[in-house]
Amino acid sequence: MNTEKQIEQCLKAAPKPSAPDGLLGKLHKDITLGEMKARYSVLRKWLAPAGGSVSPWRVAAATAIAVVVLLPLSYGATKTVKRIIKTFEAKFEYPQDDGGVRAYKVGGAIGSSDPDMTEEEAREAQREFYELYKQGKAEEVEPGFWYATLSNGKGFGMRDPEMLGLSEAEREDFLEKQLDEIEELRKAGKFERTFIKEVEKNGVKIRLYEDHFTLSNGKVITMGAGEGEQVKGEDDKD
Amino acid sequence: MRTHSDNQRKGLCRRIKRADKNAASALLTIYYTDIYSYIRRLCSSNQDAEDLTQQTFLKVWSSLDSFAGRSKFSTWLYRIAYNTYIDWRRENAGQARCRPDQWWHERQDENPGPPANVAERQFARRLYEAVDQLDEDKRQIVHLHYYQGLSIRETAKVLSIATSTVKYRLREVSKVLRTKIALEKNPCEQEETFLIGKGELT
Repeated sequence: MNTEKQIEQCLKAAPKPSAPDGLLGKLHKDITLGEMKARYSVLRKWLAPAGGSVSPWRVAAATAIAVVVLLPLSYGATKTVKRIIKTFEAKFEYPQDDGGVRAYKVGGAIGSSDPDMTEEEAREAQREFYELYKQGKAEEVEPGFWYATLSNGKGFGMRDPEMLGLSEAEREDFLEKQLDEIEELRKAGKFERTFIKEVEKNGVKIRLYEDHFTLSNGKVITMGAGEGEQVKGEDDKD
Repeated sequence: MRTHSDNQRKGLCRRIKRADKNAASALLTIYYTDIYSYIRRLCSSNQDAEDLTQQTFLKVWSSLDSFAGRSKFSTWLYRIAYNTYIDWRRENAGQARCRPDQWWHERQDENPGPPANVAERQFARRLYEAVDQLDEDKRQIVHLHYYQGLSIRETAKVLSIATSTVKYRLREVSKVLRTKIALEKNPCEQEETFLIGKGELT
């Protein structure tokens, strides 16, 4: 064998230093930290695309745009709700043509008119409601939104109750499909927008809207949205 | 170890982007030994290699959103590991810890190397030492292409250089290593050659 071949073979067969015991465990522990950083970094990339300081203008706009929450609140709770109990949350991100990212934070929550309602009571109500839904004792009062009266006489309603029977991964797939369709409708401009109010924060005027999307299955999804605009005279530090 | 297809790995990446910790664990288990061994051969201690591996994966989780899937995940991962190592090396420039030790004496689990006989072991030892004496550019080519088994194209992507540059450096590496091996094989032979080259013998 010539030296060149021998060298090549020897290099390819170089011994591999084995990873120390316990390293994998340490790396696993870091994953949780990583998730928080991942979420932060995406937002930061959008906030300071050139890697510079974060612009207050974008911070304020992003607060409104990035945190879009879908809350399937209990029926009629939007006016009387005193306490919101979060049951799950997932975040989905869609890169935009302008280089930004639209983030949807989709959550399940129970809105209660009882300010003292505990998390366990809320979850129990949700469990009972799901049983009633499975037994056909809930009513679809609008496409995708179901309502039932619980054993304590109180009403309970929620959007997409079939989600309660899904595993975490299945639920995320379900939500992602729904958001994919919403994102397509948004890009095509196929939604109705209702102006809610205008707020001013850190020199930024933010107009808040509700966007209504009619999905192919007839469901109407309403999402909060915001558009920020720098108040005249303020410096845009981008 | 590499039983996952590219599609499965991309699927894992998509799930991680949705904060799926199980997917992150799966991806970690596939790659962490490769990244550790790559870094361990470059620096002089297990502790530094461990720290740099941790830093690499922290960067992976925090920048996974920027992985668009245009290249192989492993290439992207090695690029992060390479940058992490280069940053560390810059910060510790001139310190002994940046000089590789005799990593081939470490306990080896996965690839026992070429232990056939004493002569071969000595040859291998001389070769690995010679690689460690190469300049950084050439050393990286050997580590990525030969030690880690990356293709020429993948090596080029990790180092952000053209494939033609990788090929050129591989030829250079081969030349340098052959000379060094020949030198160590018979130093007297080399001395004579040198004298003839200088024209001092007729």
